[in-house]
Amino acid sequence: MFFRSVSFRLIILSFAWIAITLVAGGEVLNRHFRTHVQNSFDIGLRRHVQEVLSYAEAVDGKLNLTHRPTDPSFTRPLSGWYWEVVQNGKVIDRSQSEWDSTLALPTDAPNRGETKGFFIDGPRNERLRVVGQTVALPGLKHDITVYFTGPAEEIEYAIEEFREALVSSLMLLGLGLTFAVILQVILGLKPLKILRQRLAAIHNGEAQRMTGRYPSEVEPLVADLNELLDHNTKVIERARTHAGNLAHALKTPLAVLSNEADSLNDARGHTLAEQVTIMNDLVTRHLARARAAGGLGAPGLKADIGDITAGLKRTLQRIYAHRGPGDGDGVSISLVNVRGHYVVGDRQDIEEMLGNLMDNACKWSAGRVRVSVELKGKDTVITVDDDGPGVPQDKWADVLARGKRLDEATPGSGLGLNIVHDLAEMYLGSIELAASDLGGLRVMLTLPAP
Amino acid sequence: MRVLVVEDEPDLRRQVNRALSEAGYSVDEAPDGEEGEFLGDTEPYDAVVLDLGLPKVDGITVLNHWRAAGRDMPVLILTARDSWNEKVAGFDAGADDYLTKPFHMEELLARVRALIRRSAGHATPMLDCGPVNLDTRTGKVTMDGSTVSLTAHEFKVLTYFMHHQGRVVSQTELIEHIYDQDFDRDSNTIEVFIARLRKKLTPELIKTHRGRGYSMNAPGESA
Repeated sequence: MFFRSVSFRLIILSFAWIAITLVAGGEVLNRHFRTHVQNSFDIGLRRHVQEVLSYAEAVDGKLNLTHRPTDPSFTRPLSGWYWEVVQNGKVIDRSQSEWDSTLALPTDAPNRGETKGFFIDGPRNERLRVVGQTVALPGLKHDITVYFTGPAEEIEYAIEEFREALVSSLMLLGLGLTFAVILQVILGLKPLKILRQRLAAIHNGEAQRMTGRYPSEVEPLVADLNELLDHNTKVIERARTHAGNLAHALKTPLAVLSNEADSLNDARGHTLAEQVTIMNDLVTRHLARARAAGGLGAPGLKADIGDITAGLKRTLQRIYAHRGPGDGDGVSISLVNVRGHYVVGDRQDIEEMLGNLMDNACKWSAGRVRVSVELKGKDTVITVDDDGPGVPQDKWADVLARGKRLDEATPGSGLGLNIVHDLAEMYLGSIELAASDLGGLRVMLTLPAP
Repeated sequence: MRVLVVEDEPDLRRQVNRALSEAGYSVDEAPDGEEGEFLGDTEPYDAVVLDLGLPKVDGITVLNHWRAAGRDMPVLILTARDSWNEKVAGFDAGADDYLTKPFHMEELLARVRALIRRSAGHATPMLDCGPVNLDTRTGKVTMDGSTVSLTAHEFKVLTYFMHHQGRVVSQTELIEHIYDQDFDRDSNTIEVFIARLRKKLTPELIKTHRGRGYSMNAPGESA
């Protein structure tokens, strides 16, 4: 899931890149600095070597120093700052600071005229940086080598200090870059986020098309999508108009046939009437399906349950206003908690389902019908109760089954409930029967909520 | 009782006309919305059978126009459009009943009968006026329990009076509700029908109000 996110990929890749660059950069800087510090240290030591050499003279074939180095570090005992003059492997002069110890200098002295820098372990086992130079002095038989040492910790101190500053500034840089990357990803991918929100709105039935302006990379996609949505809407509209026209075109001739059949009043008339009924049932059912199949393909549709049930209540109360012997009291339909509920789908299809359910309830009821709505997770459940005779539990499956009718004497084609069943299935919903607390049948229609 | 049938399919229109005429109504026909609307606006009908998918002007628009103009005769929508969406639209436009095609003619007749009866304020299909009884479902008229046979026109006059008991009905009103528009109207024939009704039923049943018209009252009541 995370790995499929473009933002996540961009951020992870940038982090890796930033980390590698910073670590490598830090290492390079650190190395250069060490070389630089060591060189500076060596230059200081070499200056001391030059100083001692300038004091050196040969007296009777022996070395004599007219002055000794003035820096007090060379007189303080075991300061780490030492010097020695070596001739032929023998120490012929040395600094006071060495006290009673000698330096473990390598036996191979630098060649004549050469200056060498290296590390040794000093008298206190401390690391020492040594610079040695071998020169030939006029009047001396053998070359002399002058060594100067300084504590290596001083180099390390400087490097340590630099490293601390380096690490903290690199970390700050890394933090800044990270922040910049995140900002860049968020801002750069914002159009995609908006695109996703708009798509979700269409999916939830809050919008019918994609709106707004998009960057040139995304714009063609949005334009194509809108074209597709418009095309879909048009196709559905056309299919629905065709279905309506077909209904009208077929049903009026059926009405004429039906009336002629009734007036024949014999066996032929009866057969004719039967066939007309079958044809009408087929037309009704298939047109309902055709209409619904159209509605399904259209995205961005949602139906207001409160609005639909209010209209159906108005209509059904008029249809059933005068039922029963004489002019009955009609049916009272109560709508419970229907406002503000929606289901995903075409208004006409949802109205068809609810109309059939409520009509059925009114048909059977003794005067009371209740419609209530509740949200269960991602579904809207519409419950229609009546106070009629109800249906025994073992017949529930039959009621929903194809083309069956429990009581042939009930007016209406008996297609109501199974049309609802068909439509609900097409809308990925379901229909269930139960016993109602009002005494009759309870029908629960579950449809996806937006 | 005058009924207007607005239907564009000629065969169906003929069938409905025949059935309603046989049931004792005076029937006018209109083949399209325009003519239907005009007739409904200008003639006093006791009920209208209205198709929705009509040429020129569709049924819902016709009905809307009538209701907006204060025409309140009962209207039965007879249509092939059977979706709930269309039913709600029909009732919201002011329909009083809705019947979808195909239908049984008995069903249509029963609905028209019930509409007329209810619009006159009667709860039951049996109309009584003193000793006279009229069953609107069967068209049977009895006087003190014994069947009286009436001609079609006598029946129409009696039915109109039975629906509007205790009210003075002018000759013009009677003519308008008894003859369809193509009939050659002659006010003298009304007097003949009333005289025959008085003779067949009971003389004091229909009273003459000079210069105003007639009224039907149960004996002992007056208008």
